[in-house]
Amino acid sequence: MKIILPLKFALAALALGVAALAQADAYPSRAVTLVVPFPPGGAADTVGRYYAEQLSASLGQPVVVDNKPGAGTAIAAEAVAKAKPDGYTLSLATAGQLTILPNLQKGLRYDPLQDFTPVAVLASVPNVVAVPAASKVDTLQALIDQAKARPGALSYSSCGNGTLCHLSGELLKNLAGIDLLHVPYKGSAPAVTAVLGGEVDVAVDTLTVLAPQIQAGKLKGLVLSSAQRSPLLPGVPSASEAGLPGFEASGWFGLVLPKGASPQLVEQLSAAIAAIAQAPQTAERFAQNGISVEHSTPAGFAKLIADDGARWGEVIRAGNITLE
Amino acid sequence: MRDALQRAATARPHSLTLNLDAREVLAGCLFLGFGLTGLLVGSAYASGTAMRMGAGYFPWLVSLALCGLGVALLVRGLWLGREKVTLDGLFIVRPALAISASVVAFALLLPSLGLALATLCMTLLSGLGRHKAHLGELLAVGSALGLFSVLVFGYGLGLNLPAWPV
Amino acid sequence: MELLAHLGIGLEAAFTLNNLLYCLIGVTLGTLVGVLPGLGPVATIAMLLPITYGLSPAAALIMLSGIYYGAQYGGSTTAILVNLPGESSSVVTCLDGHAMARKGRAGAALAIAAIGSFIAGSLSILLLAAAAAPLAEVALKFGPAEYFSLMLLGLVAAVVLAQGDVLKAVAMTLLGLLLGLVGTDVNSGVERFTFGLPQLSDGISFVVISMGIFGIAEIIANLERSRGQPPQVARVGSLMPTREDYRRSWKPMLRGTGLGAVLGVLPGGGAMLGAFASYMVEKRIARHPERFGQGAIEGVAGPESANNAGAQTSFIPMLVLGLPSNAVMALMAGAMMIHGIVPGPQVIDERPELFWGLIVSMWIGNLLLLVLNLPLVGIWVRLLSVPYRLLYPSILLFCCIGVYSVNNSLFDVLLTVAFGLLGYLFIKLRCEPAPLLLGYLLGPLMEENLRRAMLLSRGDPTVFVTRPLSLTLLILCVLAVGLMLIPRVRATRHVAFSED
Repeated sequence: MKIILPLKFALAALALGVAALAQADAYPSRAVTLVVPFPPGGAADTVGRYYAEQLSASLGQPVVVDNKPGAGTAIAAEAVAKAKPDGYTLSLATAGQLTILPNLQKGLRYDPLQDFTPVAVLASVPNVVAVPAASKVDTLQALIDQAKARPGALSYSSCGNGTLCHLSGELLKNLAGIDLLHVPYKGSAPAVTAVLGGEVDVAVDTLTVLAPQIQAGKLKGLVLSSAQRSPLLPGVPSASEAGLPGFEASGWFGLVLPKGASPQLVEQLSAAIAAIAQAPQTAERFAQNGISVEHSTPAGFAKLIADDGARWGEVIRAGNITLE
Repeated sequence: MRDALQRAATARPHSLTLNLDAREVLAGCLFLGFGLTGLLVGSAYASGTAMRMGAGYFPWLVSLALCGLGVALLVRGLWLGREKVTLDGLFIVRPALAISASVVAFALLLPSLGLALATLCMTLLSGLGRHKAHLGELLAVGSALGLFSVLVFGYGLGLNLPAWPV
Repeated sequence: MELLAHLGIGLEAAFTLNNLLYCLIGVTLGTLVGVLPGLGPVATIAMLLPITYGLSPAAALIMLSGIYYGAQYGGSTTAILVNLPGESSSVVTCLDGHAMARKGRAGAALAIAAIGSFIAGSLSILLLAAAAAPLAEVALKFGPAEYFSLMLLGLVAAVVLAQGDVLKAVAMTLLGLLLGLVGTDVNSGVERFTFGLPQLSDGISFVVISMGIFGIAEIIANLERSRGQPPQVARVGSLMPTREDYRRSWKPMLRGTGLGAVLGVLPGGGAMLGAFASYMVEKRIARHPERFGQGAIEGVAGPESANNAGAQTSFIPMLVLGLPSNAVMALMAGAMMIHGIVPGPQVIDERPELFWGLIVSMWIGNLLLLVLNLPLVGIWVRLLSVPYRLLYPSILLFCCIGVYSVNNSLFDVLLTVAFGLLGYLFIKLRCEPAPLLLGYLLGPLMEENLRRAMLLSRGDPTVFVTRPLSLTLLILCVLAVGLMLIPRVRATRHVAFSED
């Protein structure tokens, strides 16, 4: 599904092609497109739109969000990889797109480390492991004990095969040394519905998705896949508090440019992002969705991509996870 | 089609004669073809176990059933035909060709010529699908539709389509 | 008492000038995109979502939901007039609605569709207000085994829908299933039947299949059949339904409402199943089932009511649990997030004015749609008297723009032409397209749930008969197949006896 933009945005996008010939004196001299690889409405879109709006103000040119969903972010990633590195095509990129898909999908037509220039990480969301309110399990340790007593008898739902939800579940299995049956769903909503209905025993999904259900008392949160607790769910222990240090698996959203972008351009955008990230209203805006605002240097972001990529690669090999 | 249906209704089977029903045979071949393609392409996907069905299990099942029905239709058309149907005059190429060409032309021309002119070209080409077409009438209809599409789809709904030649 | 107090809150929220205005804008826009084939509520809502930034959350939700159920009203218009289902839910309406139009009864069909939609909308909104929470529990009770059995029942319905040959109908359903499997497999993530084309990795879109097999194929067949002469459309009789029409329609409307409302709560494909189920029920219990497909008004009244009832109740999982059940609801949840409201079970308690305001506005919207659509009937019917040689280029244009605008992709248009030619072949070979479309819609859901059910049961197939709800649905399947065969047996016996 490609999202149709209003006419004025369309004209702005068209202008991109025409004006590409004219040498721009000061960046940016015209509208900038921010590609979001998801349809409007999700967490990625919310983050993308906020930063687009703020960047419009700080760059002095409209930053237009272009939703390019499809093929699990591959469509957007390919389009951005082929775009000119002139700064007029930016892209939101997710952890899954840059660190998981390359480890899983054969015949991927882009290279996450070579085809993009990382600018900055924008925000991150930890995952939560939760069980239905009616479940006898109250703590992570109880869950691990039960799973050890009956290996493979318990099941967990994920928002899809090869997603961060899935790999976080696999990481939990590896670290705790337990066997849970993975049941993939088409997105978070049906995966959570399955746990609410008692179809599946455990849910592994983002804080954004699970916090409302835990707050409403429909699910019990056992552990947050992060080093600290979240103010959104003060009752849910962090990874080390729950006795599983190393269970740190956050999904993140970052900003990338096509490969070959000039260092000045990266520096300019990085500075603009830093200013936005430090503004108090930014953290406030995302707090209720469980999204924490992050910021890093371009080099720091590159390291994050490489480290996470290596880590998920290990989990994928350990769990023998394939898309076949 | 109504005529054809009426004819079919009046020509109900009274006796079992050996007629070759080309329609049934062709339909049988078509479904058999799709079924075989499904089996062939689907053979690359893992079939898995009863608990963990692979990506190939369901397509295999469906393709196999489709093949079976294709064969059943073939048999029925070849030996159990209720009426004799030949392929003579069953298909008329002109409208199919003209309409396909007009749609393809629209999509090819839209990015460069814009909505208005692409619509006009499409209307003119689609006019060839009829036996006798009035050029004047087609021009009028095409221009009116072109204007309409620019106003409604371009400006009204704000679709991401160029209205005029770029 | 509590309900009245809640409705009071809702009335107060919905009856502000601002919210009424956005409700009107929403339903008008919805009718428009519903009438225009190919443009659906999903694309429209996605396009308007960023614009709602500036509105109040209530106004934004009221407008966006108006687009959704408004499109259900509009979709039936195109289905009846030109036999083109722009929405998956109006596939069924084509069958008898268009047959009525060909008999010069388009006015009656359009009016009954609008009235049925209004009645169904009103009743299901009442249900939504009174029992949203218990209904949400129903959605949770539906596991993969139940879904699989329900989909199987849907496929049986597909064969029952068919007018002609059963063998061909089954084959078309199976072909539809196969087409539905094109794209990325949910359970394993592997791409199937894409022939290495990235454009196919998300599957073949409904718009492409429907515009090809219904839109373009029909135009080709009409042109060749008429040899340049417009196909005969009977003279328009009375614009409005007759007393006889109402007598025949009211029961199907109520049954359709019930079926649509219950199935609409189920996530994923529920709303569309309602229309199919209603058609199947009406055809089964009719004294003269052979009238169906020839312009039986029950075949319009039932499914159209089911459609709209399902559209209203499909809000339940999103509003009560914060879990969107389809693409439109996911966008609505997104609209809430844009306004800083976290979709979840707490919304009803924390923002009662939002929940109840939306519910009351939905009723107002349905009323507006009735008022909007009934006078339009006259105009639409007049469209039918336009000579076909002038009409078909515009149908073609709507098909083209509808397909092209989904992805701005030439590939999609070429694929549509291919389906158009395939559809033309089907018309010539007397294979009806409706079962194919139903198979295409249900196939992926059926496979997904079959595999999930087997995974959860650890490979034990008895799960389908040991769960009571699933067993009930399977028994219904067997009954439907049995009932389908019995009249045939009886008919052949009758013939045999008369020939004696």
